[in-house]
Amino acid sequence: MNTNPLLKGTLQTIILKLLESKDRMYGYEITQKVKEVSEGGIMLTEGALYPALHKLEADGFLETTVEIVDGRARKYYRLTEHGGKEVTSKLKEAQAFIDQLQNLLNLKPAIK
Amino acid sequence: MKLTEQEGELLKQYLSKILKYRETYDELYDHVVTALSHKTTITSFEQSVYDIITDDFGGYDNLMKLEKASKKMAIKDTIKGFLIYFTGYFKFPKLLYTVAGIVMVYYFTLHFQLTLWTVQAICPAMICFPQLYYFVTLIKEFAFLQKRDKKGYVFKPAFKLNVIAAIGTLPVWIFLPFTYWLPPIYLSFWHSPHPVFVTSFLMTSVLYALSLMKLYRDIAISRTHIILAVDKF
Repeated sequence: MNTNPLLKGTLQTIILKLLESKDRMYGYEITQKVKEVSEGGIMLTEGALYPALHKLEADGFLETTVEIVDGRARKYYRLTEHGGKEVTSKLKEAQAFIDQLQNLLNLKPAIK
Repeated sequence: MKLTEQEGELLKQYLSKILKYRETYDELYDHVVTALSHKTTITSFEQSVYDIITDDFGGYDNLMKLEKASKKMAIKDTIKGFLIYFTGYFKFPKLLYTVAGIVMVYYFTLHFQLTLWTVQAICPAMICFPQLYYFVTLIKEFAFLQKRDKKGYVFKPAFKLNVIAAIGTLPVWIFLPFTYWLPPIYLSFWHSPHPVFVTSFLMTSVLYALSLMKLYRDIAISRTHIILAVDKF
């Protein structure tokens, strides 16, 4: 189970990417989708998800609608037009970081 | 795991004690109930709730931290929204209406000499209007809470409504000190109100009030959406 700090930097990218693949999602659904796609390898814990969602909403990347499901209010998140553009930029940024990281990790140790 | 009515009430009470605001309460209550409904292992209700709060949020203390962080974000978002509405009146196409308003008010104050009494009545009224508007929204909110509370839906104060209160009170706090600390300037303004000052003051007040009303309308729309849905339920 992966809940390490490495995830923090990419959490917004993960959320935006998930919402790009589906019209709208609610908080719990996002945690379950991440768990499902990563086959339980990545768990969004310690309340990191909601602050990230609220930050993306405040930045105008996400918009919300509230619906009543079984008598309780459920907040759905969806990408705004601005958020749609941000997905591409964030993905490029993440890919570039992964590539650089891979280069660094692939450095061969000096032979002594 | 399906919640019984009693368990549902217990959970509402428990989360109500921790979470003070509607935005976080609604979202986290839905999260916990949905997580409970997906639980397949049979443990006690209390243990299951404890497990969800620990696994998904890192424990009781983190729920409060989460609410604090969300509040900060909502305040920032609401102020930003207000400023967008306000500055929107100085951008095309609304700028045309603003300019037309300025010209009309200026023409009116210049050609129809306002009596001192009229100026003294209009200006404080404009200062107090945003706050009065907030009080009306508060009464509406209270009536709404009273009516809907019976349906078992827990309504809590919203972060955004608190920001509206602060924005509504701001003009009073800005102009109130003038009454006590700067009487000569204050009085000279009232005794010989120049049309430019009156126009600037009135237009700023009107645009401020309009921006506040728009901001409240945004919150009211989402609230109306909940009312209709709860009524259907």
